[in-house]
Amino acid sequence: MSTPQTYGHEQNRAAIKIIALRKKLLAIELKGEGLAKEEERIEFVAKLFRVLLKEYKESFDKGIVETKTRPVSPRTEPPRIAELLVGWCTKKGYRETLRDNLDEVFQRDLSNGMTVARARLRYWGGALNSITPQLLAAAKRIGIIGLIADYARRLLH
Amino acid sequence: MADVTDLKLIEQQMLLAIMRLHPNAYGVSIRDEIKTRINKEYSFGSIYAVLEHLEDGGLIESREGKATAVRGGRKKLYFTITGAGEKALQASLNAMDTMRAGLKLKGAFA
Repeated sequence: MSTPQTYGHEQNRAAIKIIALRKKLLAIELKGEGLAKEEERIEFVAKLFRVLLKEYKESFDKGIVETKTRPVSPRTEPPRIAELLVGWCTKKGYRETLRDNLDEVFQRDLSNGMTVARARLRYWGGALNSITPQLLAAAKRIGIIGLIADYARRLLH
Repeated sequence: MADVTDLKLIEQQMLLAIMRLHPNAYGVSIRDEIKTRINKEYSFGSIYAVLEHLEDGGLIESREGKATAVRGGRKKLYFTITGAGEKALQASLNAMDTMRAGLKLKGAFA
């Protein structure tokens, strides 16, 4: 069974504010019904927006409304699987350097305003481009897969 | 070590980029320099394979830089061209110029 919720003074004030705001908007909406001209409709929407903005500003100044900063998303990190692939498939000598370079390009893309999804996609592209020669060489070394890879390469050339 | 005139095109490009960027030539800056100048984007895998080959041949040297906050405290690996590297590059470019001398190519500058 759920326990009954108790509301503090601030929550009550916020609830009253919201009810008052809804009443005000309803009054404007009723007035706005049957607006035929486009200019009237634009003015009506602008009035609605002004009321909402005013109410929000007042609530914010009084501390009723609070803005919360969003937590940093862990997805702003480079794709973990791509990192692991690079780690597995590249030579030990420059493995870390290569990963650092991919990471630097990823961070630069983000700071240039690129979306996280696109930056991650570019990271994947860079990682796969970097490991493909190593993967092909490895495929060649292991028997039947190597023969298939060699055959595919001959067909392509 | 292979004959100094045997440098491949990508090796010539890497050596020239390293010289231009001296002393700040590392993976990302080398790739950006080549992309800016000739609009060709190599993968980091290709770049480091070539750099490793050049370093093994004694044409370039690498040194670790200081850790920077931008890279999360990790160090960059900087590359510089050696005397042998400069000689090899000069010989390689000379060989190309000799082969090209007297030929008129379409689309050439001046």
